[in-house]
Amino acid sequence: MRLIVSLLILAHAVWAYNYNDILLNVQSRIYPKILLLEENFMQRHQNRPVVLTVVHEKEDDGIAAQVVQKINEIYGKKLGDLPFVVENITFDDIDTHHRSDAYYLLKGSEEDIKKAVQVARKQKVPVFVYDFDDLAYGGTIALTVRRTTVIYMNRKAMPWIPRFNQALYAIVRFIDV
Amino acid sequence: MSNKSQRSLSTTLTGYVAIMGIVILSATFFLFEHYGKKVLYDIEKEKADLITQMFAPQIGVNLYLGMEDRVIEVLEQLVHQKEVAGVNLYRGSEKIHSYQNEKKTDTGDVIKVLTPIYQPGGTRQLGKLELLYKSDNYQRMLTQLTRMLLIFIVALAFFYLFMVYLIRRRLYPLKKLANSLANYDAQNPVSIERSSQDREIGQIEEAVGTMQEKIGEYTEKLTHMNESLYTQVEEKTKALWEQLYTDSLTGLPNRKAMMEDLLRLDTALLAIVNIDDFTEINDLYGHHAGDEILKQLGAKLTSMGFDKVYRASGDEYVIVIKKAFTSESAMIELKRLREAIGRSKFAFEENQIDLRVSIGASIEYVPTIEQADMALKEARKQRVPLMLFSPNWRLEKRYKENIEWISEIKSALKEGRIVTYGQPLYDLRQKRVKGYEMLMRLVKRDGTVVSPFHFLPLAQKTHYYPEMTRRVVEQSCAYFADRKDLTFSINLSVEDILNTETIEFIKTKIEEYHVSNRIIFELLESENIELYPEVAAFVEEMKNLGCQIAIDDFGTGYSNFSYLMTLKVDFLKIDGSLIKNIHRDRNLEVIAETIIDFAHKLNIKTVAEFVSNDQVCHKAHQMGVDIVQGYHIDEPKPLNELEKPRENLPVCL
Repeated sequence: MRLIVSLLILAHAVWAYNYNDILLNVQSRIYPKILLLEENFMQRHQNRPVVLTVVHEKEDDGIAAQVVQKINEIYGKKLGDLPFVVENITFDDIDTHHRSDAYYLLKGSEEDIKKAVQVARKQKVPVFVYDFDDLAYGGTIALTVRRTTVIYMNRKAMPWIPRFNQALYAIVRFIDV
Repeated sequence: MSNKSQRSLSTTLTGYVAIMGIVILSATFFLFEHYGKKVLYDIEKEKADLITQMFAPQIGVNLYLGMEDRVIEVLEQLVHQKEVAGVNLYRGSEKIHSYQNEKKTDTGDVIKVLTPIYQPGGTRQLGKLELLYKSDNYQRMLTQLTRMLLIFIVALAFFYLFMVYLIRRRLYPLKKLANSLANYDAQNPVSIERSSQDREIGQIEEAVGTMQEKIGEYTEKLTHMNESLYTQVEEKTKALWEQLYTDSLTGLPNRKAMMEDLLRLDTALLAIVNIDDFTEINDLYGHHAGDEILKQLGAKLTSMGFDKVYRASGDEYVIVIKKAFTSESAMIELKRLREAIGRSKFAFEENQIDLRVSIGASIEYVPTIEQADMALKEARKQRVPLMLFSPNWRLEKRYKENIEWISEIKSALKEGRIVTYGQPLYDLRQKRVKGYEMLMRLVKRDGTVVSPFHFLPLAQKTHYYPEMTRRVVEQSCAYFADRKDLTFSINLSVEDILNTETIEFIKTKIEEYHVSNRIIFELLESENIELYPEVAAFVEEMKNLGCQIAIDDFGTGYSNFSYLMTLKVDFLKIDGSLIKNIHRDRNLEVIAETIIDFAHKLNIKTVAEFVSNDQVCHKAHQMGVDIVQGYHIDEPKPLNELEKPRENLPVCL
């Protein structure tokens, strides 16, 4: 039995993605704030909780839970003056019936990422991605931490997301993928 | 002419230019200091603001997102701008980032701009960005502006000097013209050439030249006119002098010339030659004949070689021989003159007229025309043709007159012709005649009334005088004995008071007629009454009887006021010489006022004598005189006419 459990864990560890804790931390702290930079964000969410959905592969369930926990620690379930709810969901479970104000996509296959992006585009909400490369599959905003912190914005994805404060556009780097 | 108007036009104009320059300079300085510097500073500050505004949103969003490394990156970008000296970022009051540009400012001065950093899209302040902007550019622009200002000042100074030069140069022809005209003389005109290119100044120069010519012509005409007028005036003056001092008929010096010449005459024979019965010549032959004879006699006298011959009046000539004469030699000369005239032939038309003359002459040390006239009258009186003036005639005449007056006084006393007249004393306060001053008069046998002025001084030297005084006292007391509402005053001299018999007589009469409280004794101030103890004793005695004392003619001598109090005087009669012109002489008015004021303070009443008209009367009244007396009030009248009412009272009463 002990062997079986150990093998399962190993197998799970083999199939799970690797994540950079620092990047996760930075993204957990910055992505919700970017959400607040949407134009007329507060007016659009009068007394309605802001929902951020962390989307992940089934194998990254633990990471997703950590991310949710991390965001809740940082924001204390309040974004600005609005109630803030952070959920997680797997790429398999996500569909157009799921409602959210933004999606934070952890690592996933190209199909999964595109699927989540389609769902977000239908709802006209931004898609934050963990992996910079996922911008190529339709992610809206990515963030890297190298020498300095850099926010990237996918110019091609902009028609499907709300407009952000001009100040954000001043600091982001636009990319065309 | 004031100095201001004498200031040269060029100085005034350059002064105006200088004032204008100073005004422009002051305005420029003012604009530079108050606006120029500020504008430059504001421009630089705006640049700094612009830079800050450019970077602030990035810093804001980075701060908001918590991207500290991006904040630092932006701040480093900012501090590397060449105009930025440094940048500070504050969170609250805490400085969280500070960067300095390695390239220092030239001057070390910076322009600080502090901008708040807000959350993007929100109003929450995330911090403050302080930009230290280099003021190098500002200082550089300031230096350039200062340099421009200095260049402007120098240009202005050159402009001023150029204007001064230009003004002086353009006005030089005028100055030259003025200098030329300073020595202008109508006789020697100044040569003026047209030297100015300016049309106006050239016209002035031409006009001055033309004016000079005209002035020259007028001056010449005026000179001729003046010369002619001077000659005419001189001739006329000479004619007038001749007319003034020359007898038009005979051509001899006239009486005026004679009177002036005689003022300078000393030892000489002065004779008046008068034609006897000249009126008969006029009557027989007419006035033309008379005039002709006068001319011929004048010519005759002139031909006789006397030092001076004058026609004094009508048929009288005066001759002067300037040398010393004895009575005998003078008489010989006068006889020779008379005979010469007697021998001469005087004719009018075909009628020969013989002339006889009478001559009166004087050979006194300083002979006078009066002496010669007196001699002529004496000659006529004695019916002799010639007479020399004798100085003894005057003494003899006076002695004779004195004898006649003494005889007249004696007979007048004997025949009762020493009489008393009264002149009213009008009380201005009570508005009535208060009393009379009793005056002595001598009535001659022919009825002529003579004033004491003519005989009293002589009478006082005779033994008749006390009796004359007693007559006045007797008549006055008797007249006023029953007129108890009237006072009367009697003039007493020191001689009267020193005469004990007269004093006794007076006391007796006062007692007899009961007039002690109405009689007033007038004493003359001029007689030095204060020096006589007898006068004081008399006054005291009379005052004890109830009589009153008046000082007559007060104010004429060296008035000693103290004795007025000693004698307890009741009236002061201000002398007529002070009163008669009081209405037109301020000095007399002041003296009279002083006397009146003084008298009133001593409770002494004042009497103004010689009140001769309404103006004097009004003035006396106005000055506070109590009583007035004089011909304007009424003239002295004999006792029997004394109380006849006057027909018309003077206006002033």
